[in-house]
Amino acid sequence: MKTTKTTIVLAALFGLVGGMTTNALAAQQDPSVQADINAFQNYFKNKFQHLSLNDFSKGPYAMSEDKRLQFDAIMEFPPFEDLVDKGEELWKTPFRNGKTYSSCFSGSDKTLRTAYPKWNSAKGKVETLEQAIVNCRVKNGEKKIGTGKGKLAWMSAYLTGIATGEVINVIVPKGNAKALAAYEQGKKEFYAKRGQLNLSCANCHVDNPGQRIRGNTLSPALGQITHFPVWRGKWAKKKGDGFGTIQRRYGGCNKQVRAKPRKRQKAAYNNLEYFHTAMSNGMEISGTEYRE
Amino acid sequence: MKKLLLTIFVTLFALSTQADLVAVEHEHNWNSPTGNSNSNSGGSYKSAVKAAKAEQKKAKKLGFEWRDIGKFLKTANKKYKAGDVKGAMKLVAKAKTQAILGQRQARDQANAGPTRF
Repeated sequence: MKTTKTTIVLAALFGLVGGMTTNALAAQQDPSVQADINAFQNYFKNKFQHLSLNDFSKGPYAMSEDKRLQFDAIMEFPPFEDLVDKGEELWKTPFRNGKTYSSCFSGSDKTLRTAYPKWNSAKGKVETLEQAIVNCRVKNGEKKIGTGKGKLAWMSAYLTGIATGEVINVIVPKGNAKALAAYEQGKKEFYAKRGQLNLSCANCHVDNPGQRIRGNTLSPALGQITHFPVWRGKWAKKKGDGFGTIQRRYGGCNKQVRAKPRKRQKAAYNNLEYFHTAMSNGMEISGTEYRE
Repeated sequence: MKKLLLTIFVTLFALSTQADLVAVEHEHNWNSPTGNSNSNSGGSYKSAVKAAKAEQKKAKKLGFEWRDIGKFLKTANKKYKAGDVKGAMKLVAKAKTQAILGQRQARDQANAGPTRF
C-alpha cells in the first residue's frame, strides 16, 4: 500500500514537473509563430476531418486506402534497414581523437531530431541537425561530408528512427527579432511562387494535397517533416542509394517547378526548414519511411 | 599610245580598289570560331550573352533564377561555336527573357503569404 502511495506521489510530481517543462517551452514560442501553427494545423484538420494529427505524417498514403496498403507492404520489410544500421555504426564510431558525435550534443540522442532545426544565438542563424553533425565532424578534426545523401543521410535517418514517437518542438524564441526574421523568411520561401511554372510549395502542399499530379498524389505540408530523411524509390533508381535529407527534397521540388534550387545548408533552405518543421509542432516523429 | 596607257592605268586602279574592298569584306574574323562570319554578328552575339548574363545575375541575387537559364546559355555557346549563330542568338534571347521574368516574379512575390487561412 505504502509503495502504491509513493508511486502515485512520484508520478504526480513528475507529471507536475513535466507539465511545467512543457509550459515553459510553450511560453518560449513567439506568439505570432504559435498563431501561425494553430491556423496551419486547423486548416488541414478541417480539410481532412477523418484524419488525426499524426495521420498526416503518412503524407499521400493517408489520402488513399490503396496507396496505404502498398506503403504498409513495403514497410513490412523496409528496403533501407541496412543503411540505417550503417548510420548507427557511423554515429557510434569514435573520431580519431576518441570523441563521438554524441559528445557535440547535449541531452539524449533520442530527442535530437525533435529539437532541430533550432535558433543558434551565438551564430545568429538557424542550425539544422545535418549542419550540426557536419560542424561536429569539423570540430573534431574530421572532413566535411555532403549534406544531401550518403553517410550523413544514413546517420540522420538513424536519429530519426530512434526518435520515433517523440514530439516535434521547434521554438522561435519569443522576443528574438533575428530568429523571428529567419522564421518569416522561411515562411515567405514557402509561400512565394517560383520558377517557370510559377508555383509555390504551398500551391501543391497546402492548396492541393490529396490531388493527383500526373502519376503521384500530393502530400499535405503538415507532417512532411516527421519522416525525413526518406528512402525514395525514385532516388534509388537514379544515382545514390535512395536516401535523401529534407533539403535534398526541397531542391527536387524547386527543380520540378523549373526554379534553380538553392544551396543546401544555407540561409534560404535552413529558414524554410525552420518554418516547415515548426508547422508540424506537436506531431510525433514517425521514423524513417519509404516514399515513391 | 597615250590614250591606251591611260586606259590601262585607270583599269588597273579600278581593279585594285575593288580588290581592296573585297578583301575588307572577307577579312578573317579572329573572334569568330568559324572565321568566316562577319565581325558584326560575333560582336552582337557576345553583347547579347553579356546582357543575358547580367539579367541572370540580377534574378539570382533576388533568389528567383529559373532552372534552365544556365542550360540555354551553355547550349547557345555550343551552337555558336558550331556556326549556328541564329540558333545561338535565339537561345540567348530566351535566357534573357526568363531572367527578366524571374525578376518580375520576385517583385510580384515580395509579400507572399498564406491565402487559405
